[in-house]
Amino acid sequence: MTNDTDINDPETVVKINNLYKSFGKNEVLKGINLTLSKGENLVVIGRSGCGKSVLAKCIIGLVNADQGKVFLFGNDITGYKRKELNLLRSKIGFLFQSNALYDSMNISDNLTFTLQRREKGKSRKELDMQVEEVLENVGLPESKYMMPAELSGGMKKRIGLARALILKPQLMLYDEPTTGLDPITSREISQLMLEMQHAYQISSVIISHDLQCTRITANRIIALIDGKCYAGGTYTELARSMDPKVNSFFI
Amino acid sequence: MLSLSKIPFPIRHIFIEAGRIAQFFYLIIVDGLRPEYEWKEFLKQCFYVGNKSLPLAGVTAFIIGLVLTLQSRPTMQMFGAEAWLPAMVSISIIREIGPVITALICAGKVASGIGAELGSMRVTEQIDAMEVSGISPIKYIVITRVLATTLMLPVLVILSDAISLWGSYIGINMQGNISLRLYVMQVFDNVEYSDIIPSLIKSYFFGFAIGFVGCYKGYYSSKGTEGVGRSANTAVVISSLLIFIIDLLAVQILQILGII
Repeated sequence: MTNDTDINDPETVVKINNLYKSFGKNEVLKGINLTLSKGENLVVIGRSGCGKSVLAKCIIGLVNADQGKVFLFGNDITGYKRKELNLLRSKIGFLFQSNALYDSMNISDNLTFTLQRREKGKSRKELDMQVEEVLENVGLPESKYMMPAELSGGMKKRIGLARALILKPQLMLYDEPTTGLDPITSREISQLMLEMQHAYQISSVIISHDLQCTRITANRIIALIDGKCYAGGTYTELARSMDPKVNSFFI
Repeated sequence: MLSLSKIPFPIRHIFIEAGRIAQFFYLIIVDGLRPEYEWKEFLKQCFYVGNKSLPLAGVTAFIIGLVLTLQSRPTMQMFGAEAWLPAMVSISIIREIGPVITALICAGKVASGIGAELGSMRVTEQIDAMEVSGISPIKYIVITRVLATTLMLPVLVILSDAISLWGSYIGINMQGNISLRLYVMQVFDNVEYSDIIPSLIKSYFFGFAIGFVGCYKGYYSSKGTEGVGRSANTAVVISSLLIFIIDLLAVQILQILGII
């Protein structure tokens, strides 16, 4: 559980207090509490439709919570205006479940789209160098001038990751990063996420129901059941849990 | 106190929709006034709206001019007013037919395109991706398109009017004989600024309606691919309806001002 002294702790990246969110009569999140520390990979597991993605979107302010507080880097973002939120968002990367690559732009433009608006003084040559570096890091140096439609699912995930990483985020939010991928590609993406965490010193919240991805990436896991943080611990602790609700995720 | 949930859904929906339209309009104004403009995207959209719509608008305008002339000729002949054919056709085209037909063509082509494009960006989370990276999707996607349609439609109307008059000239010469010089003189002798300027002014409003409705429907698209199709469809229907409503209001205003 969390307490208020964590909020100003520089080691606390995300802190959520008693978060509620419903859509019409459907109560999705019912009092979520969680904390993410610097450099930590926190995996949120849960069944489809249990509100994992909504939680990620509440963290970045895409969805407004009905009740409760979300603290990002010590700032309470509930009630933040767009301008203030955008300042904080510059420290955060988001990998969408659908990758959300801009399909009218080639890969290079996808990667520099945000960068050239944030860092206006940069020349085309500097931007190109950064694109090449990050594409090299995700293992797709040859894709610079390709269009998103020409890429496979796994390649799109890597480019989605590259697009987030080029902005040098301090916090990464992954929404189902391995959904729809074959087991081999899924493992590659999970390992890449781990490598990037070490290379860029990033804290991550990973929304997943992929066991392999969870095992590879998680420092800590939270099981979201019935809109609440039902159980928490390391992969081994939860896998050995005698609680059938928790244990069912690991069978 | 009256609970909102007790208001019948259709009525509540109207208020919710009206609120959302007002909020969308407010965002366009606020973000549009803030510096750092997306010139490159704006010019790209101008090219798409203007250049890519011209062939369709042009062909339609030509046929309308030709057909209007051919169908009006027998009636004009009955009254011995055949010589007034260029004047009648040019005033009809410049005042009414040119702007409305061009706007309707653009509503079909551009509003549906914008609705589908933005709808698809919404369901594939591209708009969310822009937002989480701190870039205003309103500024980049919406304002550029609304401005492009608003500024390009009057240009298309001028070109369509010219093509339509050319079609009319050919129509007159199919069953008669008139020199181009005489035709042009007859047109310009009868067309006044009070015919041209109001029709151009209302074209700006037609263009704004097309861009605004297309963007609004696409931006708030939901329910997956089905929603994208619905956004494109309703964008065409609503923008076409708005064109007629704006046209009606324009006529009323011009009559009140004594211009027509």
